[in-house]
Amino acid sequence: MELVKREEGFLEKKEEKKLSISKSSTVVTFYLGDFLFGIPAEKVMEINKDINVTPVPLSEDYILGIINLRGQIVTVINLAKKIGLDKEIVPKLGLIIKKEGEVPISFAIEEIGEILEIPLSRLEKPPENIEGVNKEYIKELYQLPDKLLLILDVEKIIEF
Amino acid sequence: MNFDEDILQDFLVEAKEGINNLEEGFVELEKNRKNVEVLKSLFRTMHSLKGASGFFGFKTMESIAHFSEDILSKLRDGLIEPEEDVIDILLKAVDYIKYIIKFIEENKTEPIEDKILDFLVELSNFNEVLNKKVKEVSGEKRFEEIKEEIEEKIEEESEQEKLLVIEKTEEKEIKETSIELIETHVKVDVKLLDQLMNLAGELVLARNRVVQLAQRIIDEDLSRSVQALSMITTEIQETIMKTRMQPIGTVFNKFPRIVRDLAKSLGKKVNLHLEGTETELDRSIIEAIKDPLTHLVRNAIDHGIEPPEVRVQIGKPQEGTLILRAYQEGGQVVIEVEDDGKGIDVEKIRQKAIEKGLLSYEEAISSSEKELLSLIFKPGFSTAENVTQISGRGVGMDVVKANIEKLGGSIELNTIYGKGTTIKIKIPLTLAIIPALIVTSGEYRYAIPQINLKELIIIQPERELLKIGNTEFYRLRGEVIPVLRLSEILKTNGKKENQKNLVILTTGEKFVGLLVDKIFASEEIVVKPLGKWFKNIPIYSGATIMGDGKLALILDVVGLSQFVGISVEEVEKKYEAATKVKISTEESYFILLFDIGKERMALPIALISRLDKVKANKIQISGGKEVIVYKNEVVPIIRLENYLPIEKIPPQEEYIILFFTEKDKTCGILCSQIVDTIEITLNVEEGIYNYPGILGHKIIEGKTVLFIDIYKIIEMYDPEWFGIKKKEEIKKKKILLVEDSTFFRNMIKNYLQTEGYEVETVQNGKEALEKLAINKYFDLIITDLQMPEMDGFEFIKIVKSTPDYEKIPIIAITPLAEEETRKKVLELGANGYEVKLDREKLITQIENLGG
Repeated sequence: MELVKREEGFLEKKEEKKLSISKSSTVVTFYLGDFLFGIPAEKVMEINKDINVTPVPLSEDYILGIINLRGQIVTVINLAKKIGLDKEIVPKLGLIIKKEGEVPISFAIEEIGEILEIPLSRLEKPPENIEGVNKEYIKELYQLPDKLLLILDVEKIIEF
Repeated sequence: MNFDEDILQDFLVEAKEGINNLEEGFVELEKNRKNVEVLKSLFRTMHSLKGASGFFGFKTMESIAHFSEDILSKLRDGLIEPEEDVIDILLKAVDYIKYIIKFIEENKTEPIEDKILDFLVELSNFNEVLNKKVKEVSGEKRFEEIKEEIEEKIEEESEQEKLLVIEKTEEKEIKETSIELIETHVKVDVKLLDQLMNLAGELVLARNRVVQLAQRIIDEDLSRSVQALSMITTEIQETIMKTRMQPIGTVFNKFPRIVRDLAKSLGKKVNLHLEGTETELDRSIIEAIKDPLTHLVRNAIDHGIEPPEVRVQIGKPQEGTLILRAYQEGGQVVIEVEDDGKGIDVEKIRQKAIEKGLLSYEEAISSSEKELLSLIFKPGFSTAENVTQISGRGVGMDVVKANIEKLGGSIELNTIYGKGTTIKIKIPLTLAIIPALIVTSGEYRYAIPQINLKELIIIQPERELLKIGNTEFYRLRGEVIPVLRLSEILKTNGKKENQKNLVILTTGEKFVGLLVDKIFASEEIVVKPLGKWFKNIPIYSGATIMGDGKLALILDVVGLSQFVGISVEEVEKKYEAATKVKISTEESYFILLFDIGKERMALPIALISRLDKVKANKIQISGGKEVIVYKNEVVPIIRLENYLPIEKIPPQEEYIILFFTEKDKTCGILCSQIVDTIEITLNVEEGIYNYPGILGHKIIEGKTVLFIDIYKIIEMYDPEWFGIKKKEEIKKKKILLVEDSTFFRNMIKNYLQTEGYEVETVQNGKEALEKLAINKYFDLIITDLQMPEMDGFEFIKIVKSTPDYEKIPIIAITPLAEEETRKKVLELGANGYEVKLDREKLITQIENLGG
């Protein structure tokens, strides 16, 4: 009980902090092919180097399989396939995504990028069409000096 | 049962437990009157009784408990001595409480009787006298203090509802050397137990890993300590599992009440027997089977057991019997709900299935009894009220089945129309850790729960599997079992030639063979759930972590068996339109259709040992006979055209040979091509093709198909083939054959006659009795079980209870060997039980009984 309370308190504090400091968001970025994607850091639990994925035959094609994460069975999603990337990707890492009160899931990615602090005010709505990616999984855009960062809609991706 | 009643039921169970404790405690007290521990325990029990009865407003009981508690507290604190009169009145109080509990159980209310009130007054007065005595001896202050303290403590504990009683493991200080009734139980939060269970699971996995790692290092000390670790882990796991085990009695004990109420409201008389109440199950399973069981019990009373007047009319005892039985079998617990009611009329299910559109007319009439009974578990069937009234059972049976299957269990229904119904539920002892067989497909491992395992066989797939249409079959002791290849189901394209390991699985209803690459040992696995992405893949029930940290998927056998269903259905669908059959109660068979020139022929697949292609130039002439050399064996070839009035088989480059093996002798039948396999009933038409070697015909897919009598053909080919004894040696025995299927009637009759028996045939039990009434001098009766008019069960029963015929031995025959049926017919008095298509065994059995 006590632990939960403490955690709740912690979360509240964090949100307050966000509001006070010029409204920014920490984003974990990673590469899939030529694209740079981002996921809000608070949704990421860890980066997993175990790519010993056990396939689950007959499952959807965007499911790579399952892994053993410290005794939990974690589903690995082939993120590139799921978001309609038309390029074939060789997954090298797993981005473990937290799920409220549930077993986490893993997104297979190619290469991890920087962790960026992004001011919320500079986030843009995605355009009608993004070439090479299914637009419905892109929540927001952020223009970096040399590249476009696509912020993923995690809920949409893991929704079944 | 409403909510209040549930609580009341719990109260009654608890109260009875309390009374047991009290009685035991007083016996203990007789041995040592100063035993404080016993007194404490008695006080606590009495206190709980007081509290509970007060909650329900059972005033009299509350008062009795109150005064008794008061007296006990004084005894405990040593304020009074446990004199004879004190113990006597306390024992009396227990008796009255017992009486009241019993009354409440039956009437839901307290009894209002003078004798109870009289006792209450007596008890109260007695307590007053004691109080006075105490005051004389010492001040009351000290006593009050202690009492409050203890009461507080007890209240704290009784507040914690939903706690589980487990054996206390910690050591208890023993103050006195004599026998003590110490508190052997403590209440522990169920969540804590669940957590322990999970940890034990993790510990098992960690242990497995350590064991594997240790195998790489040869070190005596290490291996010794790993062994110790291993043993302790197993013990911990087992012990923790035990803490979660509860006797099934906790559920069963709710039923006397439900049964009594329901029987009363329906005007029926039901005698409930509970058997094996001490059988233990994991508490999560106990919880989960409560509802399904209640449903089954209600069904049995509502639809199974007849009203008393009806029962008397049909010669049954007025009181119906309902048995709830639990026992352990292997790693499973079997629960049976058995009634002696009217059973289920399979014919009515058949009619209703057609009316409801669940089955097409053709499907319905070709369905076996087992298939029809399984309809009861279909959702569409259960909601139809009128079906329930007529067929007997069915409300919500789909839900029951789903719930049982969710637990990894299976449900089976057996019924004899007019005699009663038994529902058998098989469930695993525990859900979390199960024994499983590890198999491989490609480079990955899969776990199959032991509960679904029947046997393991190493086969030569190319020789021993019959592939016809899309389905492969394996013949296991006369039974035709569809075979799935794991690599094909998983679409992993495993190497076919590697697959020699056939795992025979059972869903509880049917057998399925699964061909896998490799089989490893059996292991205890911890079941972990799979994510939501895999929910609609029916073939997995979870995953598990293996000793090396890698994962293995757990296969769901019921889900796997659906893959068979699809292909069989496909085959059936294909022929549905063309298949026209008469109404019959006969079971369906897999039939092989093949062509000889332009003629189409049929044979039950079960009679053929294998089939293969043979090049025309491989057929040689030896000793005036055509033979082929097949797998280093000389096999004579039979051309049907030599024995049947059909055209000669046109020359082909390659022929198909159907192999037929009996008693180590094999012969082959030459045919042009295999058409397909279908599942149909064997009620063929007679008359047009009245020729030895032909049992009848049937129109299938618009073509006349001749059903051949393979035994007759072989006999025509070589009269000595079956090693028939010289006829003069045998004294002619007379056999009565009762069989409704023309195909089997003629086939069995023919081969019995070949053996030298005199055979008379009839089509059902009723005709058989008429025959016996004219002439009772038969040496043996062979009877089918599923027949119209009067079935085999009824017929056997009547024969065995008629003094004129009871001495005639009876052999019951069925399409498939089923242990349940065997038991049933042998109980009814039959002398033997054989499978129809197994000529060899049937003849041996006849010889045994006739000689």
